[in-house]
Amino acid sequence: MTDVTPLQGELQTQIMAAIWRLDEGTVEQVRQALPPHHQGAYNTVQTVLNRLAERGLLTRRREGHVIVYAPSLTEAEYLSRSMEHTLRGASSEARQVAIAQLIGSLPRDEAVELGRLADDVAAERMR
Amino acid sequence: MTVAALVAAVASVGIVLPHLLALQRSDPATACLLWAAALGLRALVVVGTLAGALVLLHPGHLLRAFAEWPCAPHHQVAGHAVAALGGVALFASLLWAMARVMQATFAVRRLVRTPLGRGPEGSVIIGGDDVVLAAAGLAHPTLVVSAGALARLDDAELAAAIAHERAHIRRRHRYVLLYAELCRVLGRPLPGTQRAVRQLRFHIERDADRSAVRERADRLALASAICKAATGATTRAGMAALGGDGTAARVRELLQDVGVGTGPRGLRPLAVAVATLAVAAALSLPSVVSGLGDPVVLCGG
Repeated sequence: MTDVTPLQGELQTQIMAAIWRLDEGTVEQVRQALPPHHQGAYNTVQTVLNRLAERGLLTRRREGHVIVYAPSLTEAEYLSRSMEHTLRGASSEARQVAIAQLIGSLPRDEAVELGRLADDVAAERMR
Repeated sequence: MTVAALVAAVASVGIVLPHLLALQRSDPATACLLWAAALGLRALVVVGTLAGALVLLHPGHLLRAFAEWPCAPHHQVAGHAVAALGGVALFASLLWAMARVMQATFAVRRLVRTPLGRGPEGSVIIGGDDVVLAAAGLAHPTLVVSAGALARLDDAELAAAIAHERAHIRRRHRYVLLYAELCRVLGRPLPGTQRAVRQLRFHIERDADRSAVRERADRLALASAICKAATGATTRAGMAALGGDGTAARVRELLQDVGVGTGPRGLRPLAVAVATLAVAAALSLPSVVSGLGDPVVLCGG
């Protein structure tokens, strides 16, 4: 678990974007479709694809000797039907009772501080 | 009157106490108990004051004042109406708040019933590019994970964030939040109630953080997940204008790994005492109000 770099989340997002463009693809096809600065090793892309499949964002099927990955959600589904959209009309108090979130509301000055803390956390995790 | 004055004095101490103590690094469960008890006392003070005012004013005068309005003398109408309208307004805002909560709960239930897919550890996937992880619903809470969270969090962050939400469900924080909302509406006339609710929410989140770490979640991964969720939240419209819940303080605490129990000594017995006091005050409220004495004629009949 500790070998995961903070950039992995960005790579996962890029891989999802590539899969949506391709409709479906093998590890190599997805790797080729990534922006140049995200084209990591074959194994890295394969690991992330498997991770996304385990999480439910991709499906896997075997075709001969290769595994083909396909999105289980469309890009529109990925972006829509969110909690934010569902609870748009609810007051902040009502939504905090209906859902206990990882974070609640956030004043802007605290957001700036969290940006600084995120760097500290990332540095600490890299140790 | 002596009993009422004594109850009011003790309640005031219970209300003020958590504001005076340094609870930021104390055991979160103890801090929750203290803030929850203080919130309960706030609600009781407001309800007791209104109920007491209505008892002291003659009910017959109250009805007459309304029946004869606007012909009744203004001071008579005003004297009785203030207490009655206060009670009506309080009751109406309580109903309104509960209706909003139920509306939000039903909306969440509809969303959860038709998920985009099944996520890790029995969660359901909802749309959205933001990093959202939540324990959604009151009676049967469901772990909800946004598609954005699945893509943007690494394994350790996702596991830690899920452990945090599972802690919310396991420790039944939803009922504490519901209780806090009831107390917030009832205690709103008293200054500091909003802050008390924010503090209670802050310690509930700390409690879930601590519980997740105890369940072997990676504390740094949890801190990182909180940062990612918060960074996404800043881009959402309206979020920045709302009151904070000490998210940065939680991240600092996880980062420094200072542990709990560094609050004032003897805090837990004190919290239990204040909570007992709040329960006793709630139970004795009807008898205290009814024992206030004979109705007072304020407006000369």
